[in-house]
Amino acid sequence: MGYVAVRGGSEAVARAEELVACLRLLGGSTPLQLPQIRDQLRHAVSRAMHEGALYAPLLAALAVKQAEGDSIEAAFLLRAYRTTLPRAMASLPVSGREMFCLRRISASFKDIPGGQMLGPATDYLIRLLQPALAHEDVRAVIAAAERYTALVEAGSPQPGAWGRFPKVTEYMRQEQMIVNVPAEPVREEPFDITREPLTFPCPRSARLQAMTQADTGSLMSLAYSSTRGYGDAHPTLVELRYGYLPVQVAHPLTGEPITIGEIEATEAEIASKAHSVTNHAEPPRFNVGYGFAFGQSELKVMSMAILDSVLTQARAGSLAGESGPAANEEFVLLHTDGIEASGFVTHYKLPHYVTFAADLSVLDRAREHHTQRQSRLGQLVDQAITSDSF
Amino acid sequence: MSEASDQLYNFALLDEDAKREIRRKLLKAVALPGHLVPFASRDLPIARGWGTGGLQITLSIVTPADTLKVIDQGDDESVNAVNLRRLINRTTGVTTTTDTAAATIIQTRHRIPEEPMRADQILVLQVPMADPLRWVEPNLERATMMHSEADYGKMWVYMYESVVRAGDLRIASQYPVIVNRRYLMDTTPIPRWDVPKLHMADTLYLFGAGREKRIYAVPPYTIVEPLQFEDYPFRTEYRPGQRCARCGAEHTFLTEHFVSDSNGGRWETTCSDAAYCAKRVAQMEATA
Amino acid sequence: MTIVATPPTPLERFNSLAFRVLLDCLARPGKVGRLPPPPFADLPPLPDGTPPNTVAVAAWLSLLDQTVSFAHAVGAEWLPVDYPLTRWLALRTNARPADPSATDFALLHDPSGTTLFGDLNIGSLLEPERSCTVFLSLPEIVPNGAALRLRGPGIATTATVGLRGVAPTELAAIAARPSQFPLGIDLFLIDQQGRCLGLPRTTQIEVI
Repeated sequence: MGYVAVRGGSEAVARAEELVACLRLLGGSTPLQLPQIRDQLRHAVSRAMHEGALYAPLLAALAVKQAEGDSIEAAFLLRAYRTTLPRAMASLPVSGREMFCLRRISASFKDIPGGQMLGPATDYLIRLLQPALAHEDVRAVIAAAERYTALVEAGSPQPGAWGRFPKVTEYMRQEQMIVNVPAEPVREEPFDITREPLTFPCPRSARLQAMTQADTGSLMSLAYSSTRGYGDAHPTLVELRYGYLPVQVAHPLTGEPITIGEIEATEAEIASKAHSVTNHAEPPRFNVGYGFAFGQSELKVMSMAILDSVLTQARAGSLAGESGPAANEEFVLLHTDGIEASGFVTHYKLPHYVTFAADLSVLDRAREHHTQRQSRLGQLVDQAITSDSF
Repeated sequence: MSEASDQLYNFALLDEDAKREIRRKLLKAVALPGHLVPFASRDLPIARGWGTGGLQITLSIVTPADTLKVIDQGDDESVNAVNLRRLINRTTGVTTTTDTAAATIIQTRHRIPEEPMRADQILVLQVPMADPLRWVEPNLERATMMHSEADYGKMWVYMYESVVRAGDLRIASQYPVIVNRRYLMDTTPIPRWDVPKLHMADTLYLFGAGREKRIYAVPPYTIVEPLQFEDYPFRTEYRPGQRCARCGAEHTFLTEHFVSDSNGGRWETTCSDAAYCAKRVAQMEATA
Repeated sequence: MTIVATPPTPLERFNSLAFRVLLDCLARPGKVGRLPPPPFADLPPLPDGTPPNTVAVAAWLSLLDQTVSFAHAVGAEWLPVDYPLTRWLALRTNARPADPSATDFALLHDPSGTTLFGDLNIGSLLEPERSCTVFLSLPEIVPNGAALRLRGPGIATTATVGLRGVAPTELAAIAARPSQFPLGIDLFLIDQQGRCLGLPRTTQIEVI
């Protein structure tokens, strides 16, 4: 059966795998070490972790290396690994209030309890390429360590509040400016989209979980569309904080909370100008949107918080004007997962000989129909001309 | 690494809880022919849209005693079929085959094998879209409501418009059918040629859509009727006089492909079911 | 090719083999399947001191985990949450004992449990798959026997099956089980020898 060898799928797949492995090292440069990736490509590692939905910095560094820097591929590798892990136990609920902040800012008030802390922000950098980075060596590492120590010593934290701050939303709730935490049907545990199918309408916990593992770029586009004009989002950043968040579990025998480690995370809360009309018995307040992601991932959490607030308002029927695609919960949640979207878009690389052959046969029929109709039309025109002629 | 430490994964990759969930949903799918049953759909080491739904079903039903065949577009040697077979084999160790008659489970994309399947076999179909109402109602909440009320009016309007515009029921593959006189069902992009094979078959058909997170089934001996109008009846792609250039079969689904030869090459029409075609060629060679 | 997975444990092997029998039986009502030997034998007894049908329990348990709920009954009585066998079942599976009207899986240890069908959840039009799956243990299933005549999906024309040790009223209850397609309960009958008969809600049942 000669033609089997000609097609040779098995052989081709094996060779493709080898070629990919070769191509990464073909340039001849020194292979990257995982700590280098973890430390120096922080944002690539964070993105792999939040989109891959697994907090594991060194594994994420491995994924980034194996994916040759492709963010969706790196997240995919981590997701495919995560799915094989047994779920030992769930952590206790954790509040952003417990975060040891490296940075926290608010755009809604000039002064906030605990004070603004700009921290490691890239927002005000002048985006000029820095040629010096091209020639860094170990001296730069030593210099950076010394400079960091000096910077930390120079900054004087508020007494008794070292790295921990009250939340701006707490003050706003107290003052009845924003809605209380949205009530939803009481469930013992939050919805888990990895264990239960996401069906609509879905609880807010499912929405937040779906968005926290969604593709950053997709969330950004939709959040942007809603603020730019295809929607009614008018966000104000109540607070954005980035830092280290302790994670606790209940001791399996005593039930005592035990801290098992900390995660690097970013959290955002935004208030929406649109008033809540969820509870007609109470005076109107602002709605709040929430965003959370592993690592320093500010664009992601702000996009997520904006969409969360838009979707909450859409559910409550308090949007005015054109709501746009960002107000459609199914549209947002079903099209922003990077792993699902990339898989389906690229699946068109797979052979479609059969469906295409079927399409061709239908095209043939449509052509016959067209020809018949044209000739019928021709006859009618001819008749018309004949009857018009004197 | 030693041989033992290479065995990192559970038998058939999925953990037992994932398999149990899919098994429970499969039983409900069989009890509700044509109805879409939501399932959690785990992440897998292959991409969404590349057969993860079919793969999760296969991995949940496979036992070490099975013999497995995987085809893509009717072809065992298509690159994605090779890849899925490799993954299933490496995580289960089951025997694989290209012979439709020898397989106990066949996982397929876009085709139903030409050789009639038996009662002791299961066909697992990979599904991209799952809900035939997607064309007329992309919102899942509303589409679910329409299924629950068997409200398929919009679909009939869609079919009617295709007749008006194209003179025929324009849907090439993924032809919608009504199962057990109740549920409208997506046939996955199998060509129309394969649709009648679903009706009153000997075999159990299981459908898995991984990205869309839905499972459904057509049990054996179940009424499966394509949507059609009295004056525009359902027709397959069959054309009188069609013939496979390789094995001479006159009643198979054919695809066109380019064959190189000393004159630069030519287009040839052959069976899309490659194993069936090869089997016929081998039989002809044996009797010649 | 290197195999990167461990072979199934005896329990996992039973679960996968039993599932194939359950699937085949539900897809082909009237076909009498044979379940593999159960992977355990240390069940606490029923209230009258007799052991439960181990293979029926094992096949039923193969589908249970922490995400589903269950209830079981002896005679025409549902067994309480604190009954030793209930606790054993919950401990083995992490499944939650639940009120019969909300339960995902029911096990009826003997044919008089057929009087309890009306207590069970038949699903909703939006989610007909949320209905109860019921396992009923009985003395003996006779392939091609003459107790019930079956029609519907999975059956080429008609099928018949015999059931020994089932009273006429119980046969009538099986035939009249809650099933207004697409709503209804799905039923597995399992005898002492591990024979298995599937009766999905699509099957029209007639007492011969």
